[in-house]
Amino acid sequence: MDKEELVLKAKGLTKTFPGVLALNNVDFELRKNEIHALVGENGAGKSTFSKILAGEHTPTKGEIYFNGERVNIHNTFHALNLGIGMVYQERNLVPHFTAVENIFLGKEILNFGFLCTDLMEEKVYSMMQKLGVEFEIDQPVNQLGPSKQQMVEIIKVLLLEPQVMIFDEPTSSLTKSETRAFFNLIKTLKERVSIIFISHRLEEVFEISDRITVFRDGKKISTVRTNEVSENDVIKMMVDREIKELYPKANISIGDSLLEVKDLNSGSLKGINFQARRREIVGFFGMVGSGRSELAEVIFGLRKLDKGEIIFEGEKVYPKSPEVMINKGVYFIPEDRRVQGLNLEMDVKTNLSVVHLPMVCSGPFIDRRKENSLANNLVEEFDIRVANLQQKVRNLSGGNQQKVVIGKWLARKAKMLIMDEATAGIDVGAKREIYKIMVDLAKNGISIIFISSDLPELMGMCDRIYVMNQGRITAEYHRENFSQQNILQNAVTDKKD
Amino acid sequence: MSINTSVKKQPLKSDFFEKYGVLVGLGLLIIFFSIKTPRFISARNIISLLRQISILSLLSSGLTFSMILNEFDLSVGEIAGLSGVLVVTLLITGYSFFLSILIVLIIGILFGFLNGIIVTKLKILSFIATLAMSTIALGVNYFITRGKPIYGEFPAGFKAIGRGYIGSIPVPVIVAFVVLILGVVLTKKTKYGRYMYAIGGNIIAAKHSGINTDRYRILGLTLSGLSAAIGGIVLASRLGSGQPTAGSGYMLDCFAAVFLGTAIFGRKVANITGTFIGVVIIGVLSNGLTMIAVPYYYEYMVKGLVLIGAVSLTSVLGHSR
Repeated sequence: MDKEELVLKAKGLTKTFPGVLALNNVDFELRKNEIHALVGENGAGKSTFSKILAGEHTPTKGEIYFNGERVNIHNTFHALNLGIGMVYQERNLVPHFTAVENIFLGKEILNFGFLCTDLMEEKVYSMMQKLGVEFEIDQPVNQLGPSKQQMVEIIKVLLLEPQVMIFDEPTSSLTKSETRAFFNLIKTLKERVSIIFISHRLEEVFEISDRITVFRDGKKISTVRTNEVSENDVIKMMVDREIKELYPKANISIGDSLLEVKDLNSGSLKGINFQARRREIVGFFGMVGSGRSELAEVIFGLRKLDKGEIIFEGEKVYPKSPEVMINKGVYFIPEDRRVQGLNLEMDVKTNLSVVHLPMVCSGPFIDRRKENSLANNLVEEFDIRVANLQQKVRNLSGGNQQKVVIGKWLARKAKMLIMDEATAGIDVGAKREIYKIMVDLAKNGISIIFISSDLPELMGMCDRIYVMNQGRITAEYHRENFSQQNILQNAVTDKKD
Repeated sequence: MSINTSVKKQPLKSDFFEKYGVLVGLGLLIIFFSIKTPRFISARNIISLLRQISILSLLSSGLTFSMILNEFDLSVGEIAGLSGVLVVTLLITGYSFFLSILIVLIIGILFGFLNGIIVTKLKILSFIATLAMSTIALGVNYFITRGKPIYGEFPAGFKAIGRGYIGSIPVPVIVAFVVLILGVVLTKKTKYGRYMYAIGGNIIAAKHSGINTDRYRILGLTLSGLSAAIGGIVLASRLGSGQPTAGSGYMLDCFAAVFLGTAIFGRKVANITGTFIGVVIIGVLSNGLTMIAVPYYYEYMVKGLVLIGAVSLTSVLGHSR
């Protein structure tokens, strides 16, 4: 084996959060000037791992060596001072500050206490030239597109002259041509720094990386040279089971039409037509910002319908508020369960019963016995693992939190379930259980709208997939015609090109 | 799978202070004052203390409703002040006892309801909306009184509200307890209370659960206004006159009481029982410090320190977990 110089090394890194073992005894080596991809399913531990390197989390156990020296990374400042910088998935910019103001935030160049704007601008310019990128440095960054904002963030980190740069899902909000430009940039960067690259998109990983480390369930499975493995090898390491087994799709005869949407317009959504039938799982695929979540919110009454018709069970409905749709039997499992679906400080019972209070009340008063038995039934039915009903939801694992969100609805008679990224951030085992619940629900006549960025998941579970791109539905595929390449193509092709 | 099944143990001893720190503090205060002056613990003084805190208790109960919803109501003090001068004015003008009280209660409800409408429909932060309404209430107050106290003869029924006794229990104490008990029942036993907590805990999740969040936010602020009006009526009766500035001092004490109550039991959410204990702490401090002849200006300083101490106890310990 060729002994290349190591810049970073981790030994036995372990991180526990309340209720979750997020990272389990991970060893890792980063060589100088390599692009090292981290892959794994949501919740596999790659984000936790990189956040430890960037100083955002402190490890519960384990050692980190930087240029051969043992270091304890206390916080992000410390990491930056050492030479480890991270470009986050969610933008870390002050929206109404200019690029220059953002880049020098907290480390402004001063002259007798006054801001030295010219000098700062000059430095940004010269860095832009070195990288061959362009953006308007005197405009508020919220007026730049996502890819330019990303450039700003990259330069912000680069000016600190780090030796290691970590990119967390850098391409998730970029169009295809922007992704190209980004890859060119990263190849330039490689000459100066070592790069850790986190991505869900395996094609990209194979295109850009030198080595790949696969994470699963908080453990490192393996580190491989990119040119020695195939995509399928990596997928197998990621999920540790055949795709067929992961997705317990059953053959269910699809029923009649339940929901029909005609020429829907709202905000960025333009001319949306689709339908969903009973006992059918309908997928919606698209990049972040393609309008999938917005569409779900319109149907559920959280967002105003500007134009168009929504027909539910043959009747025209106007989704004025979630109440209206809930009364029709349409339930919504939102994208971010912690923000939109749960009351984290409240206990399991309260979270489960909140939508069923009329069922467990006599008059205005809550009947504690009925409430307990309702919660107990749901906990059993959906196999939600809790210490007791009084446990705070905050202390449950992601998978169990999600089961609470799903379970809370299903004591009611559901007709349609809208699931928005319902399996994001939960481990593979819990995912499979949620898939099983979905199949059971479909068997019982429920129509499921399944929104996801995880294409294999959609292809495994759906009867049909609609592809969304920039506020429109660009394609529809039936199960027999599913093709990863075609679906992706329709999702990422820039309409403006 | 280990990740899935590992469940966090319910916290035990480390949380003793988080849960009971405020109560322990109250106990220590009572012991301290009892040693300094044995009169403090006499039945007579306890009843007088309860009477002193009854108005604060009424206003704080109301504020708790809005704080449960995570809405600040800065107008409770001025609504109480306005209610006080208004009821006195109506009585002197010759309105009957019941009609006067009814009108004032409706005014309180109206102010609270308007707070709710401004917050939910005009989408103005409650902090700002209620501050504005508070100023308006003060303006109406000065419009009625021209800034001067109002004196006059009142019917016996009105005097009894603030000064009467049933048995050996002062009437204001009874009024305060009735409101407290109604508050506990509403917030803990009914679905309305549950919805209010759900909204305060996570308004987006509540909306997604099909709860009409606007309706309950309006309800909470309206109840806050109503309680303030009741408090204002009791206050005017105790003072035997309409004092234009009588309500102004209450707002800060109310928030102190609610925050002390939020710190109690480690629940970190406003709750009526906790608020009452917060009110008792403030009452014990005022009463005790007066009895051991500490000048009044120290009282303010001590109150401020106690509030910081109690709340930080909870939040620091709460975060260290």
